[in-house]
Amino acid sequence: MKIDIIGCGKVGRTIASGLAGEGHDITVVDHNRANLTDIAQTADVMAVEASAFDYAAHINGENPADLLISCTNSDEVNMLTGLLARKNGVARTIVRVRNPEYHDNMSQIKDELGLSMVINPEMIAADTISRVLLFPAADGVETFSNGRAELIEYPVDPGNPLIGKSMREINLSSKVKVLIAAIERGGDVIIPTGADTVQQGDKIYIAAGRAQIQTFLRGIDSYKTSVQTVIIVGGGKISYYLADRLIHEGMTVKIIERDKMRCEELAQLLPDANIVWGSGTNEDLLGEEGIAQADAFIALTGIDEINVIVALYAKKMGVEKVVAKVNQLSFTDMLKSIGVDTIVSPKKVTANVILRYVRAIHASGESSSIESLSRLVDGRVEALEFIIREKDRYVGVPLKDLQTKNGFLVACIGRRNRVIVPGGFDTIEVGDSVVIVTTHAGVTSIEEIFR
Amino acid sequence: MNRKMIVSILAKLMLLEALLLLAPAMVAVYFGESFWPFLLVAAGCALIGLLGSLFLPKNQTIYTKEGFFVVGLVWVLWSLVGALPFVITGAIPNYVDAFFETASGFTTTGSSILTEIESLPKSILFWRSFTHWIGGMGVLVFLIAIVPLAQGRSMYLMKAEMPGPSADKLVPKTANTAKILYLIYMGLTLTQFILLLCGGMPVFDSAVNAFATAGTGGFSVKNAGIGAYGSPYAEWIITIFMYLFGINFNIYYLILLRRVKAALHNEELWMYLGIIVTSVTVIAFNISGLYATVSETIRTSAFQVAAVISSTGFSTADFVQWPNLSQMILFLLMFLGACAGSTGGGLKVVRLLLTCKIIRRDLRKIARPREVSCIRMDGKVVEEETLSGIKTYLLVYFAIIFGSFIFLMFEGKDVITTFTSVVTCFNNIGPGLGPIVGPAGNFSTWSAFGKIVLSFDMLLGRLEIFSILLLFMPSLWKKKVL
Repeated sequence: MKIDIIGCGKVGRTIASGLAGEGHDITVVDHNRANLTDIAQTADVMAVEASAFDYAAHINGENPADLLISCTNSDEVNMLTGLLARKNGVARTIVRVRNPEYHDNMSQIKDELGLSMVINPEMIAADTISRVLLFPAADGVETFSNGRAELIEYPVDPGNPLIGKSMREINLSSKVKVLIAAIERGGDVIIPTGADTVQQGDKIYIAAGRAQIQTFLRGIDSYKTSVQTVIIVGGGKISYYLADRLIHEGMTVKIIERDKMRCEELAQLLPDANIVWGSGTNEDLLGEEGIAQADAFIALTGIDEINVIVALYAKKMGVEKVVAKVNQLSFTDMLKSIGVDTIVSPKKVTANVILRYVRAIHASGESSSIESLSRLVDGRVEALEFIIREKDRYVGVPLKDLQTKNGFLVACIGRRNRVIVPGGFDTIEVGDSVVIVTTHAGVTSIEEIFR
Repeated sequence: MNRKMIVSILAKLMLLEALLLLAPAMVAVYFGESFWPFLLVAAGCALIGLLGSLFLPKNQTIYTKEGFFVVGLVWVLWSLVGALPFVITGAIPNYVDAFFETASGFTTTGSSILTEIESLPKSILFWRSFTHWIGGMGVLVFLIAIVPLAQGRSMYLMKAEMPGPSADKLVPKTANTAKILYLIYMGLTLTQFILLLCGGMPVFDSAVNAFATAGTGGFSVKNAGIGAYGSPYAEWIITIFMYLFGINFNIYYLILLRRVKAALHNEELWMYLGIIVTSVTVIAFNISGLYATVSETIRTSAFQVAAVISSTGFSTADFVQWPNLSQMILFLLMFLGACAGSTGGGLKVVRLLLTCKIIRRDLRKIARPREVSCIRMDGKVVEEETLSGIKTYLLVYFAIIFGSFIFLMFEGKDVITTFTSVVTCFNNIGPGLGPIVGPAGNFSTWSAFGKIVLSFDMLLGRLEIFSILLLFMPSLWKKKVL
């Protein structure tokens, strides 16, 4: 695919090298030569030194890009660049918009500007952190069906009650229905059938709705670190989005913010949150606000180093789950090894979301039936989400009568506001979003997975 | 320094050379000559190449320095190996002579140590001219076009091999850029081949002359050069194509995309054309007494200017017999060379252009010290870094010329012969001035030492100095970066 990336900051660079590595024709545009030199030397892309407007205005009508991603640091430039690009024949546009005021009203102007996707890094970062808190036992979480269905990566540690059980036994013994969609064992990936068993050291991928997975994990006694109280240091945009979500999930949230004005703002925006005016780097203050009793501690100030240090302090004080936001530092492995449980980089997660979207439109070609495509286990497993738009031969037929090919699995079905973990008697209906897990790359339609 | 990756790329390049050696072998079969010398060398190359490609290095990352290193090494290696068929067939029994001839071929210089050409086997003559064609666009550019290399970092390799201060991508992928360049190159070569055939030139001669013109090499298969055909038509075709191959290939790409306006918006192109028109006119007036008709005068003048400015080095006339003014103009054109991004050698027109602009700006600065201005080319601002790079290049360029000149003066030849030998080899032209190395002469009278120095000058010139010079920096050989 021919992809133009406007703005070559950290997000632009991450997307550019990711997509170039997957074989797309990438052109990166920036007015700062230093940024361009950097990317042109590390990835196989074409670097163009130009301003965003100028470039979008001069897109050649005969051979426009298939996709334009605008991620300069200005929302306005991004939106207008997207608009110009659409006018000049670019098929799809993705723009980054971070200002909550714009973003909250985006649905109105999204169609007007012809944008395919509007992303807000702070919101995505907040989503990522909230998922980490909802499934503290999971190593990773992917969401489908507009966030209703989840696919979690769960390590089977020694002593886990699942060890030695077959898929069938797990299903019978559990109160709720969940589905183990894939097992990673010693570098191999298995798409399990009923007779396969879980072994110690496996990594299993569990698909179901959020509540179902929580109940399931509680059932096998693995939800011990259920997060109830959260302390957030720093009151920026991510904190706002995150607190909003966590309160919605029924958690108690305390935000510590240094700026008095911002505190008042937050107090107005988040009536159910506990807002504290003070410095998150103050040991006494943290003690007073009960850091030792918190289930989770999240450091979201604007300074990476402070985030890391207060997160380490929280870990030392005995907080179970510690998350730090890191924007510039690239020592994530080192930080994890010294005790910070989760490192969240808004720019990196934004890049991942865009990569996921691009893979989906690339995989589905013209038909655009694939809604999203995630790669798991170093890209050896793909989880694809299809939207069923019209009646086909597999619609309405119980799954037990549809013979699924080897290496494919229907992981879950999203129907209106429910998530169905499919059994033999369930059917696929028009309007459903269906998540398929497979070890075969290059699936373009749901048709292909049935015999 | 990622040595394993360098070995791996070199191994692939040896396989490529084995493949290319099959071409002269087929020519040998066709003309009923002995083909086993080519097959023998090809088999050797293939064996080494296969052994080297057996184990793939884990760490495939390469950086600028590895890029330069690979390029420098492969050109030396290819010349060393490519010389073997000459020795084995007995066409050039002395290995140093054969190395000089092969280096001259790959670097598209066209200086020869052969005194008698026409009696040599056709397959040997084919290989000699074929090296021009391969070397013209570059061996690594060829490899990049056909095999994926170095995980998206192949731009490092291409940058080191393409002539000119900067290598621009035409399309996002390096491999596709390389493919487009080679397709344009092949297209132009084929056109010339067909046009030469139409003029009644034999198939074999048309092919080798097209190869030599395309690479801007200049090896001829006739003792008397292109003049031997006695065909004004063929001379004009070759003249035009010499000029064409001296133009930046990006311009052809833009023309293919029908973006003619953008293609013509190129200051280097206009300077190149301006210099050509001026030189041809002045020389034509200067030599008007020597030739019978006006058309012959213009043709000869245009041909010799083309031969020198494109760094091809063909000859239809022995310009050593011309008036001093004309000789001097040709001598200056030897330094200049063709456009960046072409197959031509020399200093490149763009460097002269930017040097002129630097001088003008610095002069203004003396008069108006507070004035802030920047240098533009094709409407775009040129970075100070690029400008200082050009200044460094100029200094090193002249340092190498004078260094080699002093080395060669030990041989006791006259100043003109020695100096023009260095200049012609270093700029990949072909003939020098004076009776010994002029268009009618050859380089056989140099000692083995002289030939080696000149061979390295050719390699230095073709790879724009730094790839070869970096091979002599021991601190870069080390495996560890620190």
